[in-house]
Amino acid sequence: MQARTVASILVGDADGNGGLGSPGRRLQARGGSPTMRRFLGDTMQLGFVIDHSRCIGCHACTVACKAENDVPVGSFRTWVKYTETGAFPAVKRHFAVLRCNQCTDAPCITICPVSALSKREDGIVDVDPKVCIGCKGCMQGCPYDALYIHEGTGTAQKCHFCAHRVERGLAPACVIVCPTEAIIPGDFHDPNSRVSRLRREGDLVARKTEAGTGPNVFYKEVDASGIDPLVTNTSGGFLWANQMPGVQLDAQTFEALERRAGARTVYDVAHAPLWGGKVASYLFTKSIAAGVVLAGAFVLPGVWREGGAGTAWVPGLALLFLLLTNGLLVADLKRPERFLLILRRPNWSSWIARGAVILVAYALVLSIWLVLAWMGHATRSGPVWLALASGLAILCAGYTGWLFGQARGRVLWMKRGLWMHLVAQALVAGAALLILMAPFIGLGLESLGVLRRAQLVGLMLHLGFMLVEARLAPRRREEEYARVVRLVSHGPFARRHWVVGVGLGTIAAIGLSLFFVPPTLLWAASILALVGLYVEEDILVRAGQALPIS
Amino acid sequence: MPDHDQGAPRSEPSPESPRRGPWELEVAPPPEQWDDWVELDASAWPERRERHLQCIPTICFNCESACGLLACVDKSDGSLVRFEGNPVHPGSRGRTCAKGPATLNQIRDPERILYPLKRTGPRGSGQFERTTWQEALQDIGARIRAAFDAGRHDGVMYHVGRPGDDHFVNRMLQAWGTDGHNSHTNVCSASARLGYALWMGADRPSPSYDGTRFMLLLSSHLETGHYFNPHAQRIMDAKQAGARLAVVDTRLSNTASHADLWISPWPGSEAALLLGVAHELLRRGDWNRDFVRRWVNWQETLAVCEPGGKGDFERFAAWLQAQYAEYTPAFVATECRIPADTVTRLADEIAAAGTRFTSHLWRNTASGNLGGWQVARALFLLHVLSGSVGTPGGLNPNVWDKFVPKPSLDPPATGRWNELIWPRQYPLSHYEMSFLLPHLLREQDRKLEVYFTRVYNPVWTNPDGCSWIEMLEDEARVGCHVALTPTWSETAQWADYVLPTGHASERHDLMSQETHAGTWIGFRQPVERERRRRNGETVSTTLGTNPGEVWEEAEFWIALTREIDPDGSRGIMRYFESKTHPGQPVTLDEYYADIFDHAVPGLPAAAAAHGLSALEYMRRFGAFAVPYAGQERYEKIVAGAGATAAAASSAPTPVSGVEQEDGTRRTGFKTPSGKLELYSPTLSAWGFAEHALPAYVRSHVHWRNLGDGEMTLLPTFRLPTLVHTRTGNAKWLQEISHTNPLWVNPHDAERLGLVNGELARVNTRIGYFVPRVWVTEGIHPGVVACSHHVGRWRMHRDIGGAKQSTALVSIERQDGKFLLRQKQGVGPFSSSDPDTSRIWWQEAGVNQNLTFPVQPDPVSGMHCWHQKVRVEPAGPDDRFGDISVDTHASRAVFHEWLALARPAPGPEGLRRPLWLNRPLRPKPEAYRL
Repeated sequence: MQARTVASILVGDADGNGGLGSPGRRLQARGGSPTMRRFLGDTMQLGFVIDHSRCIGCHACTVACKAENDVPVGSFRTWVKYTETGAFPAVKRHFAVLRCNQCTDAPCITICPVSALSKREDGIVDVDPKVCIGCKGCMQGCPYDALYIHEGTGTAQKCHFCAHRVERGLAPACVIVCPTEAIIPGDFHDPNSRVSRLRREGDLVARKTEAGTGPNVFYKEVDASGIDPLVTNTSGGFLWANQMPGVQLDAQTFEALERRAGARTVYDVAHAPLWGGKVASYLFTKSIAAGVVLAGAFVLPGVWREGGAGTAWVPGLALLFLLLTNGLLVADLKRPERFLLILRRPNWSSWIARGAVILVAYALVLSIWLVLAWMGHATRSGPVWLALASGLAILCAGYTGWLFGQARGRVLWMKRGLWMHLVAQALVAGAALLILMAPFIGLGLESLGVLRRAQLVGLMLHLGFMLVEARLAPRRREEEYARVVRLVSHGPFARRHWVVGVGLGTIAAIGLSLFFVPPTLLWAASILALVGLYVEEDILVRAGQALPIS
Repeated sequence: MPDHDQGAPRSEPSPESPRRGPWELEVAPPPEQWDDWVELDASAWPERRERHLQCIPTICFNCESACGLLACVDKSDGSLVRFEGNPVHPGSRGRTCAKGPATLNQIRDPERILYPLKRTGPRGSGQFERTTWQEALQDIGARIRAAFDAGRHDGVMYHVGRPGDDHFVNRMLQAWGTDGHNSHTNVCSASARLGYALWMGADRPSPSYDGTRFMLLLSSHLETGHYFNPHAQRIMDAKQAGARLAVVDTRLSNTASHADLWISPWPGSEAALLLGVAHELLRRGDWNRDFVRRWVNWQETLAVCEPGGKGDFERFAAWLQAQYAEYTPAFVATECRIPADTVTRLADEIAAAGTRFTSHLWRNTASGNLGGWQVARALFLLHVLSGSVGTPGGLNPNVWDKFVPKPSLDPPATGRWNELIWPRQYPLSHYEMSFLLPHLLREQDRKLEVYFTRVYNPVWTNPDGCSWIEMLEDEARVGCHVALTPTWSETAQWADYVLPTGHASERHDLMSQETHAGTWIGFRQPVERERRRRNGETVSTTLGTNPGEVWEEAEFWIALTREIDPDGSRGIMRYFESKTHPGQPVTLDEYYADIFDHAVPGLPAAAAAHGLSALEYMRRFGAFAVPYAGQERYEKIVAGAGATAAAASSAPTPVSGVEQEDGTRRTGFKTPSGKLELYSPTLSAWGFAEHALPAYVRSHVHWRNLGDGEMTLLPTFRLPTLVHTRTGNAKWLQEISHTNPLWVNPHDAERLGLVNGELARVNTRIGYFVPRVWVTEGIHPGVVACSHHVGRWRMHRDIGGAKQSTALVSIERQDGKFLLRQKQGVGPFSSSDPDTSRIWWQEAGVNQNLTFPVQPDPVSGMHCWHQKVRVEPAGPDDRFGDISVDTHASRAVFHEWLALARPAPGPEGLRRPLWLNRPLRPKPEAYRL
């Protein structure tokens, strides 16, 4: 590649080649996967070197950014974290300027279902507010807390390197305001750029390289406590600001009691958990939607043998809960009216998009099956639809495991085998629901016996996955993973997890499932199993977001 | 593209050579495109919508650094888009702190006072109605005219916070013939000023960071203070170039966190440390004998302090070393409670740096402690010993690096002396005894006819604010209180008129600051007015170009002066009369053109090179680098020398030059001797003989002076994002910092039973306050600290303060006893700005200053801020933010401290030494009692 300076690319050169800022040339954002981009070859990779031998922690960058980009109160595209280490008088305060890393392999782009996020030719990761549906997937995908939802527009926003300035040849607003010129912008692909020289000269570090994102913000002389959230704790209060109460603070208080951190965070901005009850409920209803078919697969052959009465209940119930699931998904969007964009412009690398297709396909199959069942064709074509629906049910239950795996900010969700655990949970949920519905949908004792066994198998698998949870850490994220798991096993989630999720919801449910008569015990087991499942889904969602990631 | 590296020396930018960054992208629109800069609208992104901007320079109006701003205005509708750094400003060099861009919040503040207000109910009742500027001018003007006509010039007082201007009002008050200038200096920097003034005649240090090898900061210039942004960038440049940094600060500041050596002494023991270092340098022989011999009044010192022997330098050197022999490293370690090797480490650094040693002390320990002015003297002694006075990389007197041009017509000095401001008890005060005003009014049984608080908030800022409330409520003491302010303040709640004046882009001011070894002037201007002018409109007043009826002070003062002297018969109006239109008031265009044309060397020529008038140049570029007269100016040979030094005390102005041993006559310093005064004959003659040499005064809060269970409260530190009471309306700053918890060392917390995050009660001599506890390793054991930059409050739901930064309080009163209790903290509210509904923080901190009695240093007159306190866990009835004060007790403490004073007259029956500086200096005869 012919070496060109950033400036000549951006503002043109002496030979009259137009720069990006010149009116004739407009840089088009280019979609496609990062791998594709690497294959095609990069022209530029803009990024920053943040020199903490110079940064004085004055927050000018934070405020200049807000002014330039009209960032709402409570949200930040860049901020300065303060940490302290040591004991008086050998105590030190450290600053760390945190922001988007303009990643080479940006997980926010991968997870975005509608390709609202993209990487430009100059390496900037930008978001298109006209497309964003406000699903917050990018915020879960980002291991740096770099994105937020603008309350006014309901769309994700982030540092885009002041692309609107860069195209006019100007450095980003945070750069020019900095009293000590500690923020240095430039092109890492240009060997002559100042940032490239700084990389060659010194030991620069980047945040969370273990997340495999290829960050393009490098730090000079930054203290580890500033960029590694695992070595610091926020629960001691801030030196001049209130702290947001909530699950993150609870988790940090627990960690502080365990004396996990050698450093203390004394100023940071809040990053409230993004997904809560609606997402936990979505997991729950989706479990049932998938599980009814999976459990149904155990009993339907018998039912068909006996004449097929009540067959429609299986696709019917599954469809009902699937609609609920979709309703919750759409309701959780900040721009629900843009929901269809997921299908109109899907990003095939995103499991949110793939999941949407799975849900639609599943709904379609269930609908046809239901209609056929109503029309009385159930016994004849039933096995075909059951097979089709079962396959989709496994995908429907399991895809969230792969979706959560794309949330590179949330190691608990990245645990290995999550999809199988979700399928097992679905089996429990579906069996439990059918057991409870049995008297109303005309399932006989034999069917109930089959469902009991299915529920038992599901619960045993569920218990097994819970017991080995600590060993399912995603690669290179073991330490972070161990700490989240400990939040669940010993921390603020432990009581709900052990008493409800494991004790009542699983072990007691297994115990009660061993009895067939009286049926009230089985019903109790199913109720406990459903409650336990909901609690576990809720813990998965909340605990997954409980540890600060920035 | 520039290819200079960071850390390398960089010249100051100018319109011809604007700032470039040490990277590939540009930093700002080039000046030649400032009238039509086309950029892409960030709010439309990623649509590439072009937006045409006009870039108009002004200067920031938050702290006193006078950093250059570039206001970017949308040409389509004249709206302000943002403020960025002015890339041609020599002081701030295109950069700002967080407060620069946050100026936009202040302009767009949805709770702005947009119209003049007049009180309708009793003072302090919160009842106001809209009035007109004309009515206000007529009423206030008539009151002042009546006072002047009755000879009660002292009844008119102008009380200013950070002036943000170098001459306008002082000149006006001089024209009015009043000695009515009252400043905030003595709650700010009086002690440091006195210390420096006694040494060199200039009352401020101006560090020359460029080229320095060692910086000793008794300040927090990487985050606050005069001049935070300009100094921070130069300090970090120096560090990158290899200079070392030591910071003396009892609490861990951001600045300290960058230090190679952080020293956390007991507050008020710093002079012992510095004198220990001085002794160590003397003991080692690591001092600049030539400089001392040449520039210190050692003969005079020797003659007084060690009379009888030969007047030779060797005897002086031996005496000097003996003089400080008691300050051994062990003594210092005990006294300051710091590691024993601190003295030698500092001595090593200073010895290695030689003439390239610089330092700063402005507030910090000097402002906290009894005798704080001796800390400044002790610090300067190190510069004297190292010969780093006025050298590259050393320390300049500020007067070299600040340039104050004035109009060609200068009013004569007044012959009056205002005892309310300059009471005889404090003859050496630097300067006005402003914070004693409620006590002095009462003691002297006086009345203020018209009292202006100008962007000043004494109820909140000053110690003993409840006495201020009592004073302001008393119409027999304050006839008319006029608050000139862009925003509500605690004090404005007790005003008769609240007159809205502009923020940084809504007013004219002329400033210069000693940011480095160089001189410049910066011009603050109303941006919309200038935009209209550039677009061909004729605009004769700022009123109407600002939001609502927000005006600017300069024009208000001219109009008011006209009300006072409508026919010119009082001889006042002539100083504000147009030369081109006799009989008419001067316009600000004419006023500033006069200054720029005649009083700023080099400016008319520089302007002509651009085809501009001097005024147009300043309006276009906002700043001008005045040709610098260089360092080591004291060595400059005086032409036509011959006069001998006059007797010091009676000389109204310092002697012209100093005769050296080589027979040459050099410029020297503006002290009575013309030399740097180790021994101060002034102190000796004015009753402070025991303090005549730089010495260590054990502070009122020194650990040896504490009673059982007492601790020292350090209440003086600032936050990097805020500045006193001016930034309460800046949402981007408030969301970063909005609380002021009490810093407590873990050892003390355990001992006292204080719990992190819980409430404490901090008891002072006159009351108590209830903050939240913040247990931290960043504070010296035995000392607690609390920032004074937070803790705003208002009495009324919709007026009195910004809702995002003030707590709504109730005040229970009973015979001088006050209990302020927070009724409501901070929270979201609806307004024209959707962001106010997103406010997520809850607390506005605690106004600790209310609970401090006045503690005037008997020499400098500085309010000694640090407090002896007892700290305990809050009781069951205490609530966050409670403040209890007994003003009877505050009177008693005032009298205790007053008893320490040594009143004038001094020699020759003077109120004050003639050579010591004073704002609004009256005629010499006014000095006589």
